[in-house]
Amino acid sequence: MSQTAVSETQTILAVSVESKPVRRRKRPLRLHVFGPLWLYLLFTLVPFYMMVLFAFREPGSNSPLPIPFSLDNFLVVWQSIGFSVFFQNSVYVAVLTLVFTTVIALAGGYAMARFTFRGKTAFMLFLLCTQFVPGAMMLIPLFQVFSTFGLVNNLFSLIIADTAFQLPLSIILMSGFIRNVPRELEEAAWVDGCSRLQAFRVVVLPLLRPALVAIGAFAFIGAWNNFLFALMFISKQERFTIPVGLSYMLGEFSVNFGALAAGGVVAALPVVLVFAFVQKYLVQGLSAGAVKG
Amino acid sequence: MTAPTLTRPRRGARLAGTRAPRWHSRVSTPYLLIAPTLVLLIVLFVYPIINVVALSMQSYNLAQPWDDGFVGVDNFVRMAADTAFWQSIWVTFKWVFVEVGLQLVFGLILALIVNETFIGRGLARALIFSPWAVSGVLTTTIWLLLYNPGAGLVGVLADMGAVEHGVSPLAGTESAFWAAVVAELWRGVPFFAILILADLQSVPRDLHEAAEVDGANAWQRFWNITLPHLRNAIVLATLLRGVWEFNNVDLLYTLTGGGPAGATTTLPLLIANTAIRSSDFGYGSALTVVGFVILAVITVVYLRLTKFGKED
Amino acid sequence: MNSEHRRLLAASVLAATLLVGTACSSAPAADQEVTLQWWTSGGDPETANRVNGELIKRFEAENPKIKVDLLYLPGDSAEQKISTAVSTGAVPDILDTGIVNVSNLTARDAVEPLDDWFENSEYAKNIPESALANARTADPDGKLYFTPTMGLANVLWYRKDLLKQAGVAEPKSWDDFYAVADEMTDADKGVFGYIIRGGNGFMPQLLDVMYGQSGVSSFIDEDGKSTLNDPRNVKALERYVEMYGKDTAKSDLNADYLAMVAQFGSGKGVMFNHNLGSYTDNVKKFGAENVAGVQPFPSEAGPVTVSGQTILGNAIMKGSEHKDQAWKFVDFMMKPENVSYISEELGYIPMSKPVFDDTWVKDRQPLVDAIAVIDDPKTQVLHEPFYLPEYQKIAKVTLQTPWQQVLQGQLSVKKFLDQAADLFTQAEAAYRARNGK
Repeated sequence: MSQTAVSETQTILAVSVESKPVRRRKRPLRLHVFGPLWLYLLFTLVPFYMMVLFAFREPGSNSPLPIPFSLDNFLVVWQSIGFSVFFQNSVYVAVLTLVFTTVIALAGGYAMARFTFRGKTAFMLFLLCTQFVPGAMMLIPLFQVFSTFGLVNNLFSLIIADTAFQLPLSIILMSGFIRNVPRELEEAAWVDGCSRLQAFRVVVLPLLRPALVAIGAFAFIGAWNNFLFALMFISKQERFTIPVGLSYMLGEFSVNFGALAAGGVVAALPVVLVFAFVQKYLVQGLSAGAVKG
Repeated sequence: MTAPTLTRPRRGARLAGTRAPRWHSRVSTPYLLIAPTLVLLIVLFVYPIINVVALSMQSYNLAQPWDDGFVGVDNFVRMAADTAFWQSIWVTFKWVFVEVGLQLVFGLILALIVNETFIGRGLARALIFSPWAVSGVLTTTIWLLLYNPGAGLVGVLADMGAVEHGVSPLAGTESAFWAAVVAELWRGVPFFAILILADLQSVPRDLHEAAEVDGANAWQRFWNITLPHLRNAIVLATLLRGVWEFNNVDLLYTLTGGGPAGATTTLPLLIANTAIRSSDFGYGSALTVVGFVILAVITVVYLRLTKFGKED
Repeated sequence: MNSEHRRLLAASVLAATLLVGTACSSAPAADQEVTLQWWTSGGDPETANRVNGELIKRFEAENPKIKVDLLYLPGDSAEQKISTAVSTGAVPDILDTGIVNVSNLTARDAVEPLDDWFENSEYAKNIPESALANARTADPDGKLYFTPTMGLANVLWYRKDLLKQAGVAEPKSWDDFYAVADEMTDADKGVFGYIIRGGNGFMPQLLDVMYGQSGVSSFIDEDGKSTLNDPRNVKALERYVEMYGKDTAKSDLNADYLAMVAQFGSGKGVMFNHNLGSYTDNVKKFGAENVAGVQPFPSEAGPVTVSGQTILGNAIMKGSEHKDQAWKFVDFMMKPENVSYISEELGYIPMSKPVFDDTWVKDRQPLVDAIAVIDDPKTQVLHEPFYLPEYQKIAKVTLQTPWQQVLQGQLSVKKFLDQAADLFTQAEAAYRARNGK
């Protein structure tokens, strides 16, 4: 019975939401749009160019172009400094943070968006309050909390901490996105016999794709770039993450801009590539959702 | 075809007599949904926050342990007389308003631009969002290099005669502030750009078309249709971003260290310097408590002023 | 509770438990052997990882029942990490520390006195007396808290090749120094003769140049007063500060190590003060024959006055559960061949008498100069009062803004030095009161 309910709901969804063909004509860009965009892109790219320049330039060269081209910095960073290990750890921590944050934020966001319940404002204020204390002041007590749970030196402490710090923003944003989805859609699904969870999965979730991408991206990057916790909660070198590895390159006695830039490319490139891939989901229109049956 | 049913039956009316879920059917559902969050945040935050409040009333300096002990409100009295503290308050407000304001404006404009269809839009989007992916220590180092008259862009500009040799934006009291603003802007605009772009998708297209048919120009459509729809998201994002900019000092810590002469020392940076460089956790905690109260007050006022929380 | 709610509840509980429960790692299997934790920082990460790894390999070969786990810390945040560790009790067994930071640890009773073990070590006699005396100043009772096996000295680095190109002779006196800085400055091309450190960590360079010129022989005189505002020092510093903006870039106001290195590396700065720690970096960049690192020139009073004689070595943390085995490693690191290896690779002065005769030492100009100066009985060694717990705070935090104001001409040198002297005098008085001196 539920399968029929699901597919019926999908049909209703496809019909009740915008059904006119989506315009996708690619117009050449108008000048008042072109101009600012190019300027801003230039602003964005200059620092990236610096990074690429230092990373691919031969160590010791001063030329403004990365010629002669050299991968020395990358070899050093990947092998001798240990980025091959740091990279894995970072991926592990960031992906799990993304998963946990998104799932828990979906639950919390749905509660905030669809229900009125006692303590709702207090909950929201509590969420906001957790953002009011700088991380550096919480280090020692946080460490003690993790120590109590036996999580010292464990990458999971980073995952938990990163999730906890990302959740308030994620929940608040998620509730906003969910509120944008009309209740009627869910009600229609219920009328057809879907349970609340099914209705959510079939009706609301597809429309939340931009929200999931945005919030997931913030959670992932928050965890990917977190330095303080990674340094303070972990005391095994093979469990350090990329930001700690990057900070190796900047010391009182040794500064290696080339290696730092190479490390930076290793750190930023995968994320930028993933961005490039998912950015189209940020603008998935309301006509998402297949029509079945 | 019109937008989804514009006539709203009494909420749940269609559901009357069915076994379907209700909006207010079970009391416990929302509590269960927020339970994981509550558990996690309580376990991780309550003890540290209590710890900070407790320390704020003690003299606790790691490097000078013989002085440790309960001192009541001494730390706060010391704070009231501390010029560095008051300067940091002023710098903090300057910093947060300027940063969040600029990031919001740029983010909004960029989101609107890349919401349009044009050739190369995907690439433009990916590029605009990329600075967000770069880690704090790296962002700071790149900008340090850019501002370095020997190795950086400033040097190149000087060679071209545009600026004086050997001068760096980071070296002047006013200019250091703006140099830091630019660096943080580079990193922070994608936050708003991503969010607003995602939120733009919920703006009903037919409202736009109807308005266009009626003769409204782009600006009017933006102001009267798009903006109201984005309002809630913008209000919240701005608040959260403001709190983040208030408390996150990694860029300032490394780029300027709070100098020259405290020109870029925000309150949280003062806290970081006090707690980390001077090992004075007692005074640092007191500063943190003050920062907390300031943020709490501002948040409440802000939410009231923007009349947030009305259920739609 | 209906099935939907049961599922929701289960999901909530699962979510919360999943996070915490799966995270808790099972206890490691009990080992017959002991694993020591060794925290170290310094040097560049590539070399440090290789060298430290090699040393651990050598040690483990000699001591099959002891394993050593290395944790290499990033230089800038090492102190914060160590401080947090002491606060939370999660300390390593062995910590690589030095005279500059060890008083933070002794103040918190975090390190173990090494005297008993040290007396019975066969390598104890290799360490120069001056280094040992220096290390013992960290403790008011003169106990030894770390084994001083590596040393650093402040140095004036300059580009020999650039000087040769310009036909300028290398400086041999302070007057030469100022003349060379002036001659090599070509503001229109953005080249400056000297780089002043105006930003983070400025104090060592300031002391080096100031005391180096004035020849005042001690930081704190016998009465406990700081000599920072001695008129000779004021005069010396005034001359130094005059260079700002003239023979140095205005951007030096903020210059920290990163900025100095960037400028020196790009050839836009010809001379700068730092210490032997940057030896490997400089040599890698320019080649040993193009870079010189010289000791301070003879002072007004006559003798060469050096500062920044910092020594480094290993300490054993009080919280360690394997102190005897930890000592075995610390002792191993005092072996001359190991001191020689690590010092050669990372650019330190080897504090082990047999090593002074090694060829690599004799081939390094900056090292040879530094050692010669230390050996010379006429040299005055300025002992900074690192034993004062307030030292880092005063030198790095409190005086930072006033120093920048001095450079900008907003604060007179005399007022600045008066303020600095007061701070140190007070700290010294408090120290003496606490320790009944």
